[in-house]
Amino acid sequence: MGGVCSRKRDQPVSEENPRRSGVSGRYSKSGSSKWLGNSLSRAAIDLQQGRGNCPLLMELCVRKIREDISKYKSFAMLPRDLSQQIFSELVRSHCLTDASLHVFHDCALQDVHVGEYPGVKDGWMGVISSQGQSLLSLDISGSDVTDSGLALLKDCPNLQNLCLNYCEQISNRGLEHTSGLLNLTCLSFKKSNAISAEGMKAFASLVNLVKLDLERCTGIHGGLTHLKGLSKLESLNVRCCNCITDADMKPLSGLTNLKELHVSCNKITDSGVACFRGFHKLALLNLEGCPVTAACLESISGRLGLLYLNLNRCGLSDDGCEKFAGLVNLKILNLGFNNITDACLVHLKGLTKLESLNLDSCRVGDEGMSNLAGLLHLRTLVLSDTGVGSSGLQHLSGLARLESINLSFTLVSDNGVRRLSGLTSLKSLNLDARQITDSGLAVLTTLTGLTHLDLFGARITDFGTNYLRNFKNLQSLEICGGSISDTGVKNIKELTSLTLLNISQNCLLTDKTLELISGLTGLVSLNISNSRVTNAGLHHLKPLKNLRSLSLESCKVTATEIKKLQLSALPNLVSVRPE
Amino acid sequence: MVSQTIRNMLTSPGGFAETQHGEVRFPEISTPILEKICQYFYWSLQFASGKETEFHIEPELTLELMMAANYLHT
Amino acid sequence: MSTQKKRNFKIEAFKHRVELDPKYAEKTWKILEHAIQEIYNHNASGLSFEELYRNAYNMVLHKYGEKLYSGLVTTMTSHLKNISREVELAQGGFFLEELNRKWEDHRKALQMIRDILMYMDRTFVPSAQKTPVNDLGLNLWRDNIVRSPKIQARLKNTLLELVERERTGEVINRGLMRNVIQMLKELGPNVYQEDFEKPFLDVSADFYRVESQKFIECCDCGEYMKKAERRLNEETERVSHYSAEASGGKIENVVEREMIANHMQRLVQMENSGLVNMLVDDKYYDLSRMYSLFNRVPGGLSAIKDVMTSHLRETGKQLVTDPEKSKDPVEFVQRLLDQKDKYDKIISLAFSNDKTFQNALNGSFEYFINLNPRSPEFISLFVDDKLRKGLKEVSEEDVEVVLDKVMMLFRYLQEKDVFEKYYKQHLAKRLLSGKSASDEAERSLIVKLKTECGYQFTSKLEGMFTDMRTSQDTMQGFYASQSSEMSEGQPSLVVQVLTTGSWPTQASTTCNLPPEIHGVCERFKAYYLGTHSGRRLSWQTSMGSADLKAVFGKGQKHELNVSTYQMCILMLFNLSDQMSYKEIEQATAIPAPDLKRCLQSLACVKGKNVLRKEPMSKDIMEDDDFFFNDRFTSKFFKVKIGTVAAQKESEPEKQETRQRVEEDRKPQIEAAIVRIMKSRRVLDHNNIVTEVTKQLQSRFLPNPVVIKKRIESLIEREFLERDKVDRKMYRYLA
Repeated sequence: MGGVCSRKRDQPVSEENPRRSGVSGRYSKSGSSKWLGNSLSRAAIDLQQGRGNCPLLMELCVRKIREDISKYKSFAMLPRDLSQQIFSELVRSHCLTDASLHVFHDCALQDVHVGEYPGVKDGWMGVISSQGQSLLSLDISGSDVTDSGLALLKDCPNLQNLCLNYCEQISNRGLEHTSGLLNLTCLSFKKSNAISAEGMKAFASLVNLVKLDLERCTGIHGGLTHLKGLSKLESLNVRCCNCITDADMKPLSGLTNLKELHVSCNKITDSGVACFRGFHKLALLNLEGCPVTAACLESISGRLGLLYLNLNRCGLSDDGCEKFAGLVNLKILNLGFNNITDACLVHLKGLTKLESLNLDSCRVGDEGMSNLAGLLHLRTLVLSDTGVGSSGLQHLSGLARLESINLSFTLVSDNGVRRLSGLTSLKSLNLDARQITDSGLAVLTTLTGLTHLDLFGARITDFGTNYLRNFKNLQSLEICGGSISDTGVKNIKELTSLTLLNISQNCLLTDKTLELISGLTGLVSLNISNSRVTNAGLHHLKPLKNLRSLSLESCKVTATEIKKLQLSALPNLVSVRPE
Repeated sequence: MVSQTIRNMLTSPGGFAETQHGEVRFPEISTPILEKICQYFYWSLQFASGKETEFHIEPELTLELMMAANYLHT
Repeated sequence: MSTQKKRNFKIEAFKHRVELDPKYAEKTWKILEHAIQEIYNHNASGLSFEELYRNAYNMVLHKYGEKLYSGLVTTMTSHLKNISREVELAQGGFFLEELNRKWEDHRKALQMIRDILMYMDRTFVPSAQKTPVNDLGLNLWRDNIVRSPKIQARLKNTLLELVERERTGEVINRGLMRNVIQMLKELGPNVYQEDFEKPFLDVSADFYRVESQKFIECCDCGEYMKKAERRLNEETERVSHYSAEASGGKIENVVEREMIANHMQRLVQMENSGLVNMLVDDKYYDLSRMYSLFNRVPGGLSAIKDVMTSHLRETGKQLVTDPEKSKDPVEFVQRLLDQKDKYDKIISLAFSNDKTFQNALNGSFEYFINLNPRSPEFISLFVDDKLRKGLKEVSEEDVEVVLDKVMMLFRYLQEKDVFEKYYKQHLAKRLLSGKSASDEAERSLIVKLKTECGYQFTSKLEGMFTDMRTSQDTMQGFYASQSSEMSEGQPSLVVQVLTTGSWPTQASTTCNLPPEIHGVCERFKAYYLGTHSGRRLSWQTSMGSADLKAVFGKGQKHELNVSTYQMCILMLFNLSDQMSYKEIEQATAIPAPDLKRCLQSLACVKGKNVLRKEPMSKDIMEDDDFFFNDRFTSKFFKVKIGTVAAQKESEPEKQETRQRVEEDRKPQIEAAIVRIMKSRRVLDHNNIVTEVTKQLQSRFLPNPVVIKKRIESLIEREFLERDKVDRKMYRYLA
C-alpha cells in the first residue's frame, strides 16, 4: 500500500453491543476510533443537557454536594432516590473515593455501577453489600475485588444483575458465593482466566438466569454442562473462549428459550450446531471463526425466527450454500472472510428482508452483485477487499434504502462511483481505494445526507476538497492520501457538524491547518499525525472544548506541550498521542 | 415550567383551597430554603432567556434544598 | 439571610430518617383516605392540596409506599362498587346518562387523586413495578363498572339499541353516545373492541342483511343502489359523530358486503333495470353509481365488466351478421362507429376511464367485427364515401375526427391486408375519376395508416399520388409540344399515366376506340415514348371517362359525361341511328359483361336513357336492338351517365379478391418462416406456428394449415429439412 497505511488490519474483534460502562482504555490499544464509540455518545448527552436546557434545581444541588462531598458523614437518612442520584453523579464525574464512599453505607441503593472505575477493591464491598435487600444491580468490572470481597454479597439476596468483567482476582471460589443469589437474571464475567468448569457448578442453582456472558473465559471447557437446568436462559455468550467444543454444546440442547447465542472463536463444528435444533426461538447466532461448513445450516434451516447470523471467518465454501435460501427472515448476515464466490450469492437472492450484508474479503465480483439487486431493504453492505468493480455497482443502484456501503480495496473506479449517486439515503461511505480520485468525488455531490465519509487512501487533491462542501451533514471524514494541503483544508472548515476528522499522512499540512479548523467546535476526535504541525500551532485548538482524542504523532509536537494544552483548555481530552 | 408540583397545587380541578385562594403554604419548608427556591425560579428564567450565570448554593443549605427540590419536583 | 449552620451537618436538622412509627403512618393514611372519600363526594373544597401532598410524600419517604398504594386500591374499589350499584338502579332511558355522569366524576376525581399522590407515582410506582395511578383508576373503573356483570350487557344493549333507532330514522342523543364510546376507548383497545365494536359490527350485519333483502325485492336496480349509497354515507358519518372512526373501515365493509357483494349478480342481471338496460339507455348517473359501489367489493367490477362484454358481443354480433344491415356498407360502418362512441362515452363518464373496461370494449369489438369477413371491405367503402363527397360540408377538424375513429375500427381488423387491397382499389377509382374531395384528407389518412402499419403498407399508395402529379406535368408538356393546327378540331385529351405495380391490377381489356380518339391517343403515345425511353404504355379502356356534346331531336343540346366504354358505344350512333347488340359488340370489342352493364346504364335508367332499347326490358339480351333516343329530355344541361362508383363487389368479384389476398399471403408467410428459422436454426412445429403468427399479426391472422403447407413447400425447395429422429423438428439449411 505504499506510503499510506490502512487502519483496517489491526481492528480488534468487533463488539456488537457496546457496553454501558465507560472507557476501556486497557483493552484496545489501537488508534482505532472504535473505542470512542461509547464515550462519544455519552459526551453528546452531557453536553446537550447543558446547552439550552436549564438545569433543574435537583441537578444543581447534586452537583454542589459532589463538590462538598468530603463534608458529609452519611446519607443514610436521605431518601433512596436522592442518595442514588448523588452516588451516580459521583461515579460519573470520577469523584468517588474510598473516603467519600462511606457516606453511602446503608443507603438502600439499588444500582451500584462502578465498572472500570479506578480503585474499586474489597474495601468497597463492605459499603456496597450494606445496601442489603435493596441492591438490584452491581457492576464492578475491571476492579480488584477478590473472592472474599464477593462473599459479602450474601447480604444482597435480591441482586438481579451482576457484572464482574475483567475481575482478575476472582476465581472459582468467588463464584461459589454467587450461587445463593437466586434472583440473578443477568450475569456477566468476561475475560477471566481463573474460572473453570469447577466454578461453574455455582451457576446450576441460578434458575432465574436469563442472560449469561462468559466471553473470553479460556478455562470453562466442560463447565457448560452445569447450565443444563437454566430453562429461562435467553442469551448465552461464550465468544472467544477458544476452548468450547461440540461436547460442551450437548448439555445446552434443552435450553429451548435461547434467543441469542454467541459461540464465535471456539471449536464448534457442524455436529455442535446440530445441538441447536431445539432452539425454536433463536434469533441471533454468532459462529464467527468456528470451523463449521455450510452444512451446519441444515440444523437451523427451519428457523424462521433467525434474524442475525454471523459466519465471519468460518472458512465456508460454496458447498451447501443453497441452505441460506430457507432463512427468509434474516436481517443481518455476516459472511466476511470466507471462500465463497458469486455462486453462493445466488442463494441469497430470496432473502429480501436482509438489512445488513457483509462480504468482506470474499471471492465475489460484479456478476454476483446482480443477485443483490432485489434486496431492497438492504441498509448496510460491506464489500471491502472483493472483486467488485464498477459494473457490479450498477446492480446496486436500485437499493434505495442503502445507508452504509464499504467499498475499500475494491476495483471500483471513478466511473463506477457514478452509479451510487442516486442512493440519496446513503449516510456512510467508505471509498478507501487508490484508484478513486477527485472525479469520483465530483459525482457524489448528490449524497447530501452523508455523515461518514472515508477516503483514507483515495487520491484526493485540494481541488477535490471543493466537493466536500456539499456534504453539510458530515460528521466523520478521513482523507489520508497525502495530497491535501492547507488550501484544501479551507473547504473543510465549513463542515461544522464534524465530530471526527482524520487528515493524517498529509505531510503538506502546517499550523495554518490548525488555525483553519479551530472553528470546528464539535470535534471529538482529531488526527493530524505525520504532518508539519508544530507546538506553535497548538493554541489554535483551544476552542475545541469537546475534543476527547488528539493524535499528532510524527509531528514537531511534544507531549509536554500537549499536556499543557490539555490542562489549560481541553478538560475532556482523554486520549492523547504522543503520550 | 419550573415546578410541576406547584402548578398542580394551583390548577388542580376540584376546588382545593389553594386553587380557590390562589395561595400555597409550605409549613414544612423553612424560610431560607423557600427563599432560595424562589431565587432559583428567577435564576432559571434568566438562564432560559440566554443569561447563563452560575447559581450559588451555600454549603450548609444544600441537603435541605435538595430535599425541597425533590418535594417540589423542580 | 439564613442562620449559620454548623459545618458538620448533623442529622437533627432532618426529621425524615426517624422511623415513622406505624401508628403515625396509620394516622397519615387516614387523613388521605378521608380526603379521597371527600373528593369522591364532591366535597374537596377547603382541603389543602399541599397538606395532602405532603402526607403522601411522607408516607412514601418512610417506606410506607406499599400501604399507601394498597390503601388507594381498596378505597377506590369500594367507591366504585357503590357507584356501580347506583348506575344499576338507573331507570331505562337514564341509564346511559347516569353512567356518563359518573364517568366524568370519576375522571375528575382521578386527576385530583393523582396530583396529590404525584410523589408516589413518580418514585414508588416505577421501582415497585406497580400500575401508575391514572391507569389504575381506569382499570378499576373498567373492572368494577363497565365489566360488572349487571352493567356490561345492559350497556352493550343500550348502545346497540340507540344505533338501531337512529338507523330507523329516530333522532338520538349523539353527544351522549360519543362520550360513552370515548370512555370505552380510553379504557383500552380491548374494551372498545369487545364491548362495542364487535357487537356493533355483528348487529349491523344482521340489520343490513334484512334491509337489503327487503329492498331488493321491491326496488329496481337504480333505486336500490341509491339506497345503498345513502346508507354507506350515513354509516361513515355516524362513526365520526360517535367518535368511533377506528371502526369506520369495518362498518363500511359490513355494509358493502351485505348490501352489495351479496346481491351483486342479482342487481346486475335485474330485468328491466339492470346493467344491460342502463347501458342501452345511457343512464350515466346510475352506471357511475354502480361502478363506484361495486368497486368497493371484490369481484364487483369484474361482474359489471363480464355482463357488459357479453352484451356488447351479442349486440355486435347481431349488428354484423344481420344480412339486412349488411346491405349498405356505409350504414354498416356508421353503426359500428356509433356503437363505439356510445361505449367510449359510457366508459369515460361512468366508469372513470377504467383501463380494464377499455380493454374489454376493444376485445369485444375485435371479436365481432371479424365475424363478418366483409368488414375490411365495408370499412374501405365507408372511407371512400367520406373522402369522395360529403366532405365539402364538413370542416377539416371534423374530417380528422372521423378518420381517427375509422382508424380505431381498422385496428380491430384481423385481416388488414384485405382492407389494404380494397382500399387501393377504391383510392384508384377516386383519384382517376377526380372524385377525391380533399387531397389533404387523403394524405392524412395515408399517414395514419403508415403510423399504424409501417412503411410498406403505404408506399404503393403514395406511388399513386405521385403518378397523378407527374401526369399533370406530362399533359402540360404534351400540349406545349402540339402545334395549334394539329389540335384544332381535335378532341381534347387528358391522360393519367399509371405505374404498373402501384395501382391495382386490372386485366387489360380489348376495346376499339373511335378513330378520332384513336388518333389523338397515338399522338400522345408518340410524345410520351419520345421523352421516356424503355417504357411501354397500354391504354386502360375499362377506366376513364369522356364528355360528349349531343344534340337531340328537338335540338336540345346536352353534355353527356360517360365512361370510355359508353363513349365508344355512343359514338357508333353517329354513324347509324340503330344498332343491334351483336353489331355493337363487334364494333367495340368490349367484353360482354361490361358491355351489358354499359348498355343497361345507357338505355334502362330513367332520366339517363339516351338510347332506347327494344324490347323494353330490364336486362340486356343478345338479340336486343338499340336506337338513339331522339326524345331524350333532361332538366340539366350536363348529364352524368354513371361513372360507376365503387360498389360493393358482386359475389364473383369478391371471390376473386379473396383469392388474390390468399395468394399474396403465401409469400409473406414463407418470408416469416425463413426469417425465424434463419435465426433459430432448429425449431419445432408448434413454436414455428406461434412465432409466425406473432410476426404477422399486424397484417392478418395466418391459418395454421396454410403455414404447414408453406413449410412443406419450403422443404421441397430445400430451404428446410425435417429432423431424422423427431418428425416435428425442422432445421434450417443454409
